[in-house]
Amino acid sequence: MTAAPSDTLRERVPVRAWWHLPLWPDPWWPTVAIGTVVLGGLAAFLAPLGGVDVSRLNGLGLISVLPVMSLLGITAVAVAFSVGLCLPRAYPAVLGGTLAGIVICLNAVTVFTEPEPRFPTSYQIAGFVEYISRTGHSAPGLDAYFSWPGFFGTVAFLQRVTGNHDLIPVLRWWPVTIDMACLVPLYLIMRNLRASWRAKWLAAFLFEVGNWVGQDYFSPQSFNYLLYLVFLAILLTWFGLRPLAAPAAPRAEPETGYGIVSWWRSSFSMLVPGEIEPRPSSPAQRAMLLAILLGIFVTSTTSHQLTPFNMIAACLGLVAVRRCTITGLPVLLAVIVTGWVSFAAAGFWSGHLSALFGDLGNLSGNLNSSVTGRITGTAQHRHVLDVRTAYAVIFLLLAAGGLVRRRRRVTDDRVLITLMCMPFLAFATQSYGGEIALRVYLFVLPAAAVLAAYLFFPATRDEGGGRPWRYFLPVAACAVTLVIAFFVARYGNEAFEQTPPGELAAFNYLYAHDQAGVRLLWLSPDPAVDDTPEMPWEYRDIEKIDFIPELAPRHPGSLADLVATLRAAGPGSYLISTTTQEDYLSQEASYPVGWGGEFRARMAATRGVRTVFANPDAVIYTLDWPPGTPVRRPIPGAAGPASPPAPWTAAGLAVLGLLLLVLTAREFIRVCLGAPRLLIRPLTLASLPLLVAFIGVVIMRFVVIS
Amino acid sequence: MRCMPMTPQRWLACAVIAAGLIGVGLALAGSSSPLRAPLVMLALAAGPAMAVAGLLRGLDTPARIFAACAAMIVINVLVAEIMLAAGAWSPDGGLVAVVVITALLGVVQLPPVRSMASRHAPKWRAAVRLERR
Repeated sequence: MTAAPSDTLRERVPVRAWWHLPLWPDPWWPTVAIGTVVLGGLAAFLAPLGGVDVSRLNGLGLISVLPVMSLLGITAVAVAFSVGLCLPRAYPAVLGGTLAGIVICLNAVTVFTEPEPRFPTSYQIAGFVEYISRTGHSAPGLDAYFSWPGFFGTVAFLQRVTGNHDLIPVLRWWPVTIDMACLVPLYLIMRNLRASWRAKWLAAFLFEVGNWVGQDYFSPQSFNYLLYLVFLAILLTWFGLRPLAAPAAPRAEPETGYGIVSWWRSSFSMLVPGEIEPRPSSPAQRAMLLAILLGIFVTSTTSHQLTPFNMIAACLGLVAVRRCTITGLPVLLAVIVTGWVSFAAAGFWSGHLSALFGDLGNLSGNLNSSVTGRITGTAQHRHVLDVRTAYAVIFLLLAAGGLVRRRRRVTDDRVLITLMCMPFLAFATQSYGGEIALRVYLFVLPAAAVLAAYLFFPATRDEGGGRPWRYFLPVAACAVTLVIAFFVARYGNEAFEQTPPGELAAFNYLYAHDQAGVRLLWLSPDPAVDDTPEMPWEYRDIEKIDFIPELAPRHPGSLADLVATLRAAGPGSYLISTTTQEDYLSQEASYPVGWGGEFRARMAATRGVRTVFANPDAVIYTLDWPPGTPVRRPIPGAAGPASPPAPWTAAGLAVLGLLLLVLTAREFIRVCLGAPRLLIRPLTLASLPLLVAFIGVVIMRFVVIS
Repeated sequence: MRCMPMTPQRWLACAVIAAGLIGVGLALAGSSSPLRAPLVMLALAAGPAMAVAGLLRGLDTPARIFAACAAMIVINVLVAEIMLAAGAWSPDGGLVAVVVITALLGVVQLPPVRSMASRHAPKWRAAVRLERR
């Protein structure tokens, strides 16, 4: 048979009917088979969830009450996804649908098992939104969160223009929505990588399954994690550096063994870049994209305290490894975030400098408090911590393995290595208490997920032949293990992170009686450190209820101190005890089993103590006050923005404005006009004295205000 | 002026704009209609995104939609943030601000403005080339 010219061939292709569109590909049976298994698995997972009783959780959390049927269902879905990865060609609709199903199962399971949205802090965030929605201003004096009000302000704005709806459904569906949304920038990021479709789909799966950290509740940081990925996607897609002298096609060399000599040689020989070249774009498009990039960064700066630093670190790393063309961007970003912290968030740091920078450089201290600080509590609950640690370690090991396999294919994945390493800087610099390890893991995750996927599928392009089925067993085993372990790692604290309806009712009772202000005592295992109650707190009227942590007596009978404190607090003071807080005390702080029940019984029997509200989930006590007891009003924090001294503010703002103008102009000229020296050099020179002056202003403000 | 041919995409855009404007009207009138929330969200989400997508002609479709959505988030958050920082909190004012920004982004894409820009573009390019030398 002779080869026909390509145009002749094209003419002969008949017009395809709709059932032959890519959504319904040839051969049709893999789609139908995998689709059936996935739908069956989803049904098996979701159907029995209605009968789950979340009040009977033990120290392992949600998995202790999940029906076996549900676990079998999700296992079937994970296996089906692995099968989809090993087919000779990609079926995007099937893989995408399966992945979406998995994300729903993992992140929306509590929507079906619990009557109210989970996680105490999400209620607190809703309280900040409610405050802005009601008063029309933020209040940095009331809470440090208000120094970064972008997220609260936006939600309050949307809430008001859509007709003042309740936020409870938003709280409930937020995690699964934001986790789905994160897949979009991840897809854009992965489009720039030289990798097979199998690696990319597996990476998306690992990214979702690895995200057990639980930072995706309704909060500024979950929104900012999405912004972080968007930032990376724009940077890598349009501003990644054109690699110098890249070979046109990846080398088809055989894998060269593990010997030191070959490793050495491969390190210094010409590696093939792990990224494809930047997409072509016109100067106007690049200007527009840079504006969006800066907008994303400013959005993040105004709404979260940690994420902008991660963005700067990632950008700096990419510039350093020559994979970012906007070389002046890190300086511009640093000036933006410093300006915000110095001028707009003054209420946060004035008076707290030692708390902020005290841990700077205290690497081992931060590591220890992150890793070991939380390891107390019941033996059963400690398994959850073991699973989490193992999860993180396994992920990093898989990523390292993937890196080695890619290296043997002489591929240079410096972008992924950079993105994986830069978040670790936070250990050395940020003062964020015991949570920093979780956050570092979260920001390592996108790059680590891709590298871990390379361990199974290291190919640099879509290969036609090969034997993908030999990877089926390892991939399926890994997928199933990680999915099941996810439920332990993510929902291991569910006994005290859930919100029973009775607790919400208790708080609604308080909100109905807080016109004159309320002091609310709650039971903490260590009031000096542990000041976040496990209850739906602060979700309304945040300026009216003062939450005061009090030491929970280890022996539930010794209530004298507690009652004395309540008496000293005066009329309008209450003490609350909730089932979740009691579970927290026993699981995390080793209080005796049955502590809560005995505490409630003893408290009710104490003379002078009056129970004003009680249901199985929560009890509120107060005291019988003799008539004429003077009422001490709770002191609400200062409302409205904190006002720093005037003379420095005006001068400082002028310097900041000029500096931003010069630096922004410099970067726009760089991306639009290809860095003409005649323009760039004067701007660089002009920016230097301004930069020095700005640093001076910032230091001066720190000294004067604090 | 020559009339633009109406492709299905353009009909869809017109429908979205009309629905969004109805939503904005309902919100400004303080209506309690169940249509208010979805239509206002459509106006705040699809409006700026479509306007920015129009400015990003030439990018491939997924990238274009993605960048436009990113811009949409930025516009909404910064409008809310500026209202807070300036002490001028007004949800209705913010809604109008987003609509005005969208309209401005839309106006620069109208055929007269674009033809003017394309007329002046060569001069600009020549100027830059001169400078590089």
